[in-house]
Amino acid sequence: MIECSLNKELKDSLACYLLGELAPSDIAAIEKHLALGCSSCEEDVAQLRESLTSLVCSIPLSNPSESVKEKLLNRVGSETRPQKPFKLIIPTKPWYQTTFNLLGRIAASLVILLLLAETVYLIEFNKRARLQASLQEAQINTLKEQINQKQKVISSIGSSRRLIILDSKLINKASGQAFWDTNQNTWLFYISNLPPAPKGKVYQLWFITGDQNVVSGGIFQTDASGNAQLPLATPRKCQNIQEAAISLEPEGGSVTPRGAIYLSGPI
Amino acid sequence: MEAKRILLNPEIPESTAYDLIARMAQQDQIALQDFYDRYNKLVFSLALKVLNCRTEAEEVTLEVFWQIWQQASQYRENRGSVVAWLVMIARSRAIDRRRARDRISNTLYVVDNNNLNDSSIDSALDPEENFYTAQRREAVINALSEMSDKQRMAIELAYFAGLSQSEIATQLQEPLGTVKTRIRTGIQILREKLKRYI
Repeated sequence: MIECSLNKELKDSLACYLLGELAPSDIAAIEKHLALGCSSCEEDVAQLRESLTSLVCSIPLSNPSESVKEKLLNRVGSETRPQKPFKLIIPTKPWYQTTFNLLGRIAASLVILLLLAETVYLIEFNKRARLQASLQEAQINTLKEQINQKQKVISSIGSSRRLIILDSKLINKASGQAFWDTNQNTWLFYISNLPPAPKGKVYQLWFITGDQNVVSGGIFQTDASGNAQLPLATPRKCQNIQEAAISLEPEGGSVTPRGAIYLSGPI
Repeated sequence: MEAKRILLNPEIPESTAYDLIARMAQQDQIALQDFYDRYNKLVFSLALKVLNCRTEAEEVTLEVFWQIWQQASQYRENRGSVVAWLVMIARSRAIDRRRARDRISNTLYVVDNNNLNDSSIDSALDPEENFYTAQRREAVINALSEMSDKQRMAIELAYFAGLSQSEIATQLQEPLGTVKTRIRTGIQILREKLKRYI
């Protein structure tokens, strides 16, 4: 219980407060005081209100006409009462709907995750494919360049009249071709699939004439793929060439072939 | 503090009045009819006292019960009895109507002292309720009888005419301080005489 803090003037004016005769500031002060829960003033106000209400007992009672009740009931029947504040009602779903909803959300989440993983995989796959494509394109460009070079060679030996094919009895895949320009008296050998010579060894090209004389055409190495391109002129004092051969010789070459013959072919 | 519920009947009527208000809050039109049957004379008589015009008093009566019907859910027991709430609304409505009318034609409130001699009993109330009403009415009349004419008129002008103390001083041709004292002491007498009913 709080101690009454209302000043005497306002406390004496509680009846005037109920009669509606006080200034707004005084009314506000009394209502603020009552709101604090002063039980003494609350009781005073209640008793004063009942006392003033009792004054009604002093007046003679009279009956209103019946039409008042009729009008009241007609109004109640025809007019709607003020709507209660709108309240949002969220319907409660049965457990199985909630469960299905939950499972549906989980399934949807998994699908989204799978789609994301697939997207990441496709992006990575696309990167690799592009890298592979660029490598293949580089290879294609290299091959095109080789073709161009060969076309240049072919065009340069447009007057060639002889094509020599070299075969290998030691290595199945190894082969060779030689173009002999009889006008220019130049040669162009293409060696394929001949493994690189072991350390301390080299390949050596030989021309064999009709009188069984063997003349060295020069030494060479094949690349990592086993290929080599050998442009050269016909050695001096080398006429009536009947055959060409390639042997494996010690580093620096030999005067006459001593190693194994890897490629050979008639001219 | 326990609310006092005994304006007309300390035992039965107020409990019924609470029930009726509660039912009206649930839009029970039968409760409204019962409530109207029980208190229409009280409201109409108060309005007639303030307005001194049957037509206007009936219009105010209609508006008062319509307001009760619409605001039944807003009634709070700790603010007083149902009848005190009803009478407060009826008095406010009637005084507002009177003030609006007086702005057009300023008419003085005429105090009718003959009212004190009227001992009419409300036939709508049951015998037990009439017993308490008669006793209460007698206590009010006794309290008013102990007051001087000017003191009684000051209270009546304040309560039934809704005049301010300055207006009452003008009408009674008395100093404002005197009017204030008359009203304060008059209400004290009333409160003292009705103590056993409150």
